[in-house]
Amino acid sequence: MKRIGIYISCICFGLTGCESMIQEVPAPDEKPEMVVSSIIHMNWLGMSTEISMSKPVFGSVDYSDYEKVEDALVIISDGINSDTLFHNEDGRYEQSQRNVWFYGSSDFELLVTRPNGMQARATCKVPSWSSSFPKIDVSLDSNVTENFLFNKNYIVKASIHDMAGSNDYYKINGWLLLSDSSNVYVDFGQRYRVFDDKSRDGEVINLQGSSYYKDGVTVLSANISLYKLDRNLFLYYGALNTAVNNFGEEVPFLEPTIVPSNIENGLGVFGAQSFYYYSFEM
Amino acid sequence: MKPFILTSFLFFFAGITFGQSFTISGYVKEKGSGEHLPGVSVFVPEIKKGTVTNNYGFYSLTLPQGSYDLTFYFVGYETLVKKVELNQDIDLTITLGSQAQEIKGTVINAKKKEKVSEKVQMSSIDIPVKQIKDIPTLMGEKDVLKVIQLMPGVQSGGEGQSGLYVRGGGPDQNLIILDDAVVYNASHLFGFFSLFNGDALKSVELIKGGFPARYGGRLSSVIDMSMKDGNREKYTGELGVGVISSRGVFEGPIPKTKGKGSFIISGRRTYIDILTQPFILASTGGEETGGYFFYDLNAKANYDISDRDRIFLSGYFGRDKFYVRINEKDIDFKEKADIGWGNATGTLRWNHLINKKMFSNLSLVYSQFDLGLNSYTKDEDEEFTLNFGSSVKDVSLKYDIDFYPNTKHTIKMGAQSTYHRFNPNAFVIEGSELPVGIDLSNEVKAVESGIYIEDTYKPTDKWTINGGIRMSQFFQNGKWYIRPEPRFATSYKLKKNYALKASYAAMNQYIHLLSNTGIGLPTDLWVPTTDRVKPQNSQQVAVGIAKDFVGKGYALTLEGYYKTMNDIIGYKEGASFLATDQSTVGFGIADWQDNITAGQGISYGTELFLQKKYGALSGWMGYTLSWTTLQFDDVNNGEKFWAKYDRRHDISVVGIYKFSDHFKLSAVWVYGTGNAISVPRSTYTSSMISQAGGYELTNYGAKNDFRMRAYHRADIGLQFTKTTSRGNFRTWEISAYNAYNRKNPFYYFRDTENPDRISNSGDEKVVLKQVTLFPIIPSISYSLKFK
Repeated sequence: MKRIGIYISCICFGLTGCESMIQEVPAPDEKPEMVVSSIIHMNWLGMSTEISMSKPVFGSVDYSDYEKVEDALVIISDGINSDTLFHNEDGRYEQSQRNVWFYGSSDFELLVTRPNGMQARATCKVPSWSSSFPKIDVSLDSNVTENFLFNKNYIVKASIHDMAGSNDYYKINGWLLLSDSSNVYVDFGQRYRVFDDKSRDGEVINLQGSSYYKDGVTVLSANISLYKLDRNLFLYYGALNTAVNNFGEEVPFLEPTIVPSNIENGLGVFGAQSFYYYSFEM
Repeated sequence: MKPFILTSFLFFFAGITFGQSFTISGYVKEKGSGEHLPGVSVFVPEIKKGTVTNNYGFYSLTLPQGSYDLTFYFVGYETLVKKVELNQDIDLTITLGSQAQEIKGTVINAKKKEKVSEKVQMSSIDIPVKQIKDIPTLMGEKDVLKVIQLMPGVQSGGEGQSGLYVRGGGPDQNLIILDDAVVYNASHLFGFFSLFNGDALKSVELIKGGFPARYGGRLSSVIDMSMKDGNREKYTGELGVGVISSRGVFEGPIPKTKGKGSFIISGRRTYIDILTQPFILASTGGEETGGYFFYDLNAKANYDISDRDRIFLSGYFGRDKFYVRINEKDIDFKEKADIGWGNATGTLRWNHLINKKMFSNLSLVYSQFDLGLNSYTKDEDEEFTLNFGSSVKDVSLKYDIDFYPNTKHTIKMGAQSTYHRFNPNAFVIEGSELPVGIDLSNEVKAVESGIYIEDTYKPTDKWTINGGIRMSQFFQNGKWYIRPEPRFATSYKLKKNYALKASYAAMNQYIHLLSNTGIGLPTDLWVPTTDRVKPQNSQQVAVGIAKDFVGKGYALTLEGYYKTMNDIIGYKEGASFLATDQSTVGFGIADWQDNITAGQGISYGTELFLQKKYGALSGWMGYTLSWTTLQFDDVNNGEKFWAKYDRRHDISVVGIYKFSDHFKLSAVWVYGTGNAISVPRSTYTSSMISQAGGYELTNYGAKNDFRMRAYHRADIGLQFTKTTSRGNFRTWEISAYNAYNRKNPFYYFRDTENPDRISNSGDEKVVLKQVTLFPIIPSISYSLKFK
């Protein structure tokens, strides 16, 4: 009986390391899709739309540039009226007529059709803009840290007084006007700094950003742009922040960032935004 | 104070109802060690009444005056029948011998039986602790959690992982209790080995649904483990040497206590670091060294203060540690880095027999899990220190009463309160070049409590009901949550040895594990419910049948379940504790609450479990057919997606064949549908992406819409046992993990291949590749059991 164990052990050791521990497996078959980036800007009652094509990951490597779609028929509709967008010199599609006007709490549909029959569709419900933008308080702290360039760090604290009763999705930008007439950007931690009032409806939402300035220069004013977003755009921006620096593929167990899309048969986003500008003299 | 008022009421209840009856009560112990045995059936066949010993081996039966054959049976032990004349209250402590032992004089009927059809509790499995040592495992490390993964309804996270996913729940939804102490992170080496090696364990019970009211605080499962008390009669021990670790157990009576006390101590340590250190030093000229090790230490002592009182003191301490040391003297550079994590638990218990019908236990429990990362660098005159830590520390007080008023009712009631202290991310940086140090410690305190009462009621011989309610409560930073949790289970005997069962349980979970890997790493953070983060809650219904094939040793259960989980939390898309930025809510302090999203989960399925408990061939077969989906507002565009561990088919077959007392063959075969994962599909770009600072984005399709290949493997083990000339037992075990060398998926990645690498003229191609972690892994171990 002892021999059985010895034989099994030898076979086990023999088999170990016979073959590679990495092997190719079948990959998903993916076709190129239309990528639609379309935003309704409520402040100037217009929209900008950009369309390109995606490239499948697996298969032969394609080093060519991403195809920009210039031949699509792009139609915006509010359910009653519709406009056909034209392709301008900047590579974007814009409204030429004004059959469709953008109002708060309205639904819009975007339909994109290529001559080869590819079609993508998206809908967007523009949030109500009737309510005024929230009150914001801003304060500055300086001399918190000193970096190796001998600049100093301003901490910009913004308190947003969210208004109760609606689900609000926000994006914030900021900059400081300095005494030497230059502007410095306020870094709120992410390129698209988005936040919502879920579980904080009607409360004060505190945000903090930082901005470098040189010794001897004072801050004349702090300037904040607060955007209200529709939910599609909020989710898109939020995921975009981390997706562009995605470590998901380098670290095997880290979940990849999945950028959401509300485009049927395509990728990208169709959303709406509006902003309000605040300036605080310091 | 409430329990004492209730106790007084129950005294009164028992007194007026059963004045003409007498009570027989006592303990059931194991012959040879004096260990108290939980879960032993105590039954009177002629009147079809009975009870079961509690966790401390205590039983109490109140019967009308008369003469009875009292039958004690427990799987793996000889059945014992004792004749009693019940004309007064009787104290009867019984000693049961294992099947290998002979019990002269007292054994009348030696039928071996334990019936699943007689248990009211469904969705629960008593893990056969004695079989754990017989089941082949990775590198020969015997592991309770790996055995639990072989049960239907329980899935492993992946190759080699000891994480548990029970009926669609995450690894944080398992209440793992060791002697009343909650164990927060039950794994070593990033999940490849669990803390529990089985040497010091007396009993392990897995509950997947129909939770009795005495348990609360987690949504998906309870794994209730009790450590051995220690041999009261003699000193015994066991030493084992394996491929990666050695272990030892020593137990015996406490000296000078005249058989009233005993102790047990067990330990285990890996020695990979010790073996590899000389090679690292040699290859780096003595300037660098490093390694990894883990160890466990279990200890327990108990002492009978009086016939009615007994105290226990038990503890667990275990730690993992990675370390690196660099000392380059010629350039005056030093680096010292350690990553360590571990659990510590301590339990002080007092068993008190209030009267013959009422047993109480008071526990004072301490539990801690902590992770620490410490780094010190000295480069010439510059010094830099970085310390990161996270921890959760609990102190609990728990009081339980078991009340046996008559043969129709068994009442359990109690209360528990836990003081939690969470420190999700203590972060300290100090450096000679920094003007001031940065300290971001932010301890969060909370109190979690629960009171419960449950009654196992037998209206008829065929029908048993276990009903109860638990009131749970959580308090944190001025916010109170109080939630009722009704529990119900019933069993109806359709025929002899054939029962129909049903259960319902509502559960709440007030503490959460934040993980964006889903594989249960020590870096995952435990965080409490707050005013912004609600408690997770679940409701589960289950129906099933249980059938015993008496005489053949088989037991069959078939169960269907449907579970909903609400307010479960996860990271928002792309967020992690690594990505917490300083701009979020609460000036100056990163707030994890901004990075999470709440959602729902649904899991349903069917589980088949066929068990053979004794005989030359023993083991089980489990099959699970299940579906699990999750839905979060801010993940996957708010749409439903498959949970990573959604597993359509899961099969496990375990067989142990005992050829003789000297030779055993064991085998395991497992099969599981591949994990649901997200793989890259396409890439794209836009001006919005450019503005975000990127060139292109990767499209992964819908979340978890791609399946890894199916997982399956077989493990085989051979055990050779020999009795030495001194009467000790020595065992050699040879085993093979993944015996047919199946290349199971560990993770997938994309890779670029050039078919003609030398001339670089071929077309480059992107392919999907699978990494396999373990090929066939042979191992050998040796153990010596002395007595």
